[in-house]
Amino acid sequence: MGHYVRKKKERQRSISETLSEAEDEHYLDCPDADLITRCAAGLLDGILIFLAVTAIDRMSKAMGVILSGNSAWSQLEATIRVGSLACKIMAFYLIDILATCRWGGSFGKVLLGLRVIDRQTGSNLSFSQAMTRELVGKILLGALSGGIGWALASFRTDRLTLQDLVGGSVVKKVRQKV
Amino acid sequence: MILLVPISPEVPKRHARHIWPGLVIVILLCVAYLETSNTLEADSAFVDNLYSVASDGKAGLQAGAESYLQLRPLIKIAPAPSDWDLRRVIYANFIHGSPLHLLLNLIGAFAGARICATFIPFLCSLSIFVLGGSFGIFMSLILSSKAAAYVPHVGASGGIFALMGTYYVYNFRFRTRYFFWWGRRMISLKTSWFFFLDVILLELVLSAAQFLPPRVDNVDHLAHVFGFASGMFLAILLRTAQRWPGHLHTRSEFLYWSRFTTIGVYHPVRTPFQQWTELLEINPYNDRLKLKLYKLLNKQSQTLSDAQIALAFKFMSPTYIRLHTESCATFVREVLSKGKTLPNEWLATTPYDSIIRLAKLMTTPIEEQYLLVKLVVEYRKAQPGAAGVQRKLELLMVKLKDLMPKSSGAFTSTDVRQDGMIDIGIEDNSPRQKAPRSKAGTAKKVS
Repeated sequence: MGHYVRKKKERQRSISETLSEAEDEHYLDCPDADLITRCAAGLLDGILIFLAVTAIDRMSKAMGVILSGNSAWSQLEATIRVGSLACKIMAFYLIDILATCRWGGSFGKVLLGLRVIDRQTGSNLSFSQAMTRELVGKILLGALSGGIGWALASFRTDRLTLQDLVGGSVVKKVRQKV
Repeated sequence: MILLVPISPEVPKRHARHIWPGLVIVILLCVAYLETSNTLEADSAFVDNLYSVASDGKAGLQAGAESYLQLRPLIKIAPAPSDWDLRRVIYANFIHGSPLHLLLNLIGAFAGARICATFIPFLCSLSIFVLGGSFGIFMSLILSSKAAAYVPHVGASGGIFALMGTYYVYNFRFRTRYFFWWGRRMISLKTSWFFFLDVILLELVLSAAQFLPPRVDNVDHLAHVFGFASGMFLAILLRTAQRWPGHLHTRSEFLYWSRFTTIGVYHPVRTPFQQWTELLEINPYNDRLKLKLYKLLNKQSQTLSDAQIALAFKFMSPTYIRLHTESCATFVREVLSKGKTLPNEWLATTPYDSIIRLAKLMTTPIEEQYLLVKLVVEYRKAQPGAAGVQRKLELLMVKLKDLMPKSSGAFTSTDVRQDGMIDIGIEDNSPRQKAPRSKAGTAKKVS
């Protein structure tokens, strides 16, 4: 037997929210991003992360040379290593996860006119969605599957990769030549 | 970084097609390399004779060979920390240690001279290349560790960095086009972003490493940093001497601006409007000038004719709307509030998301919200062919109609048809999508 559940009265949306909704709907209508462009965006992200990691490494190496004469060097060395690792994680977080929640894509994706959106609503991903997509879908499952997660997009008609399926997201090409 | 190469400032192609300044510098460097090749070979043979291979396989200087290093043939034409003069410091910019060193610097020198040609004459570029590079090498000679007292400092990289510094000074507030190898794409980025990434983050960090005893690499990062700084200094000096206004981007604009003469009496709106729109015809990518133009027009929108409004909208490109939405939204609001119509050509070529972007910023103040409805209505009128956009706009207008207060006057009673759709006076044969209706309740199975 089914019960009759009275739907809660929805709060009236503001004009600004309505326009944001229209924008999200427009993103959903945009064409799916092709795999080559997505790989190019990945490469751009890789360049940026490489630069950040190199700079952090150089700085920690320089600090190591300067402080190596210190008596408490063994303790300092561990601190520098941990600090360097924390900085690298922070760089990855800023470039990839935070950018996906806030600007609808990592640095490379935004540059190439791509946008990562929620598959149902078309809005930017929430923090938990972005974390799931990037950490579980991209890094964990991507490493376990040996890159098959990416290749999935070339077999599927909706061009979804493994991280998209895990994170409930889709990548659209939102900026096109006029 | 080799995957993401700065190609030119973001200017029309005709301003960036200066190849000959780069070629001249390339020829100069090649000729200098050929001239010095005999000395380089002799120097290489001399140093090889001084080195011996130890039992552990590592090459090292023979005992007592340190004093012979000052007799190296290359020291006669190139400076070393313990033996230098001004003539050799200048020569060092044109001397390269190996064909690979030359090749890498040829690419840099060609690119540097080419991108600077958009802003300054070739003789200025050449002077900055020589002066900046020489200063970089000079500082590097002074600050280098004494362990390498007779290692000559050669190469054009200091000069290349000086040209790079000049480029950053002239283009700092504008954008740079980068060539991305994958898929042969052009990417446009703010120049200031790469200034921090390229110069502050990498070069300063690497040059800091050069002060340390175990050097990270054999590159003269100090010459890079000081060459870059001197290039910036010389460019700022040149810009000040030229009285270059901050809102001008290319040399063509500067030449036009310096020769511009007012015909008749100066008018506070018409004269700058004429000058700025003509400058924008020369370089339609100059966003700083557009900001000035729209700021002026916002104050004087009442006095503008339809032709002037059409001309002003011609420069409101989708990219400009994306980057400076506030400026565009204010101007659109001003034009609509004065009862003027938006130019049809602009509406027809502007993408849907740009209009939504503008509308989002037009939601405040509340008493002027009806203007955003006007914008959407006019946009829909200008897009008769695009069925997909029509449907989206129709849906949006139905939603807006429910939200707009009746007293706002955004929709008149004649606008709303019997089927609840908005009548805008154009025939639309595309299949219509019904507006979503909110239901009072829905039946749903609960397990």
